[in-house]
Amino acid sequence: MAGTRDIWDPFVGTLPFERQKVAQPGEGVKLPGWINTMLVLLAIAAAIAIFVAFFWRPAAWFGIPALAISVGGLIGGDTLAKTAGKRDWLFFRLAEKNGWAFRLIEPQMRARRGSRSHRPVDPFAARVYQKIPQLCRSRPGQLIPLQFQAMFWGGTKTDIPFWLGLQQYEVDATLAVEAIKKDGFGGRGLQGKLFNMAIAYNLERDTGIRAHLLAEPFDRDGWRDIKTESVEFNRRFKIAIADDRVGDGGQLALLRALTPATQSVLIDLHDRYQAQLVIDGATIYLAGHDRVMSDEDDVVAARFGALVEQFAEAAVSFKHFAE
Amino acid sequence: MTGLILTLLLVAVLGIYILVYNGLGRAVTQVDQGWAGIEVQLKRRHDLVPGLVTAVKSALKHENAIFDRILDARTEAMKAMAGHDPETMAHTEAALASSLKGLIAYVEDNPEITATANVATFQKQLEETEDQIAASRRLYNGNVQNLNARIVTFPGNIIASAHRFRQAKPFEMTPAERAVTYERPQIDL
Repeated sequence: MAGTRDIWDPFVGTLPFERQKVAQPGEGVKLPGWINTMLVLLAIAAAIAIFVAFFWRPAAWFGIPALAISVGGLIGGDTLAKTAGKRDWLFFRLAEKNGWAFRLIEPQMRARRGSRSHRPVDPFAARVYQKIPQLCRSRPGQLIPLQFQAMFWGGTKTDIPFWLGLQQYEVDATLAVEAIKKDGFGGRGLQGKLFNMAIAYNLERDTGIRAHLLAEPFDRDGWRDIKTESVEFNRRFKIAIADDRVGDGGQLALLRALTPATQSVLIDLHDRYQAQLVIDGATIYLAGHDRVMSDEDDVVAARFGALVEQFAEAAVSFKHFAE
Repeated sequence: MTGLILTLLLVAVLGIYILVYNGLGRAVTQVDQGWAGIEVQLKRRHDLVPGLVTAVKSALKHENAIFDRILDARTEAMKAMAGHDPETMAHTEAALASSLKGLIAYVEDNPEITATANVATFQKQLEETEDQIAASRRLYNGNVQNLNARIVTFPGNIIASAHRFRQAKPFEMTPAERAVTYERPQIDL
């Protein structure tokens, strides 16, 4: 516990400040990057072989053992390297450095006893999935689902309080195009980490609507959504009004919030973070992802803090434009 | 069989023709919408000028030349906006922006003016409007680029030339105008 003050929370209003302690993990045994790559390639080959086995049964003799070895190898490698412990430590260090409240999210597990359909979800994560399912589920335009591993409550340099949810994925870019092997910090690598993030903050003005601005699949302007005056903006965002308390269709309220400067910033956020957002009354929820391409823990740790801080600053950058 | 193939081919060609023609029409409308967006923000700047001038004037009674220059620049900018010519507008707006920048720089160098007059509010509004103008300019230019790309690429180039769709001009400052806008403001009272 780091104090007794309250913090802003978009889901319940306020929460008492709390920073969960995380113990520093040991070094672990890190396997060379190429072994991970080989295991990933083996897993892909196994999946193809299992598909082929539907038409040519002997392929299963390769597919099933290969799948078991690759999955077992990847899980074993993660355990040896203490990947989960290092990730939690990374999250905790970020919160500690910035003085933010923080808690880890329990992974979503099947219950050991009872109904097989019962999947308990951490209550903090459940609130988010219920409030902004559009930003969390995978769908065309957002292939990677958002399942939180940690949550933060902090403030920007300009003292705008925010809530931030985070998830880390391992990235193997061996077969990917060159652009995926690079990150926004000038780094390049075949292995790296992808950080899926969602942030919420108070606009301090009730827009009177709930609007979804979600990524258009393939950056093509869909037909059945609200259009702004910008071709570039419409190509990137599928705009819909889900709830209109004013009762005039909500388009006027939405277009008031989407000033030219707001649209311009959102275009940049989409290009940088694949950002998409939900405007819910006076609260903005914005989701996006970014990556650090390096398999060295020190490099990832050094860039991770900057990545999250930059994302938070960028996400609130259009606040004063949405008049 | 040949008749059927020809009919299907004709329907396909007609379908593509209609799609491309409608796409071009839509792109022209989007350019007009983008332009309207710029005009809204420019109008907002024009409307802010008299208030700002009055606010500063009350604290700076001995000098009228600078205010006359700003109000003249505003009148020219409003005339140009009524004419809807992007080039003239870019020129007059650059002149207005430059005059305003000079005034703001002078105000910033003299905190007593900010303290005595209600300048800070106008200054903030003006800065926000400048941001909105820059953003609407970007959005408009994006729409122009979309229209122009459709006009110069196949099959849009054939349909555009048959129906006289014209390329639109982006709203950009000439190098000279850019220099005027971004140069260090000089003010001599």
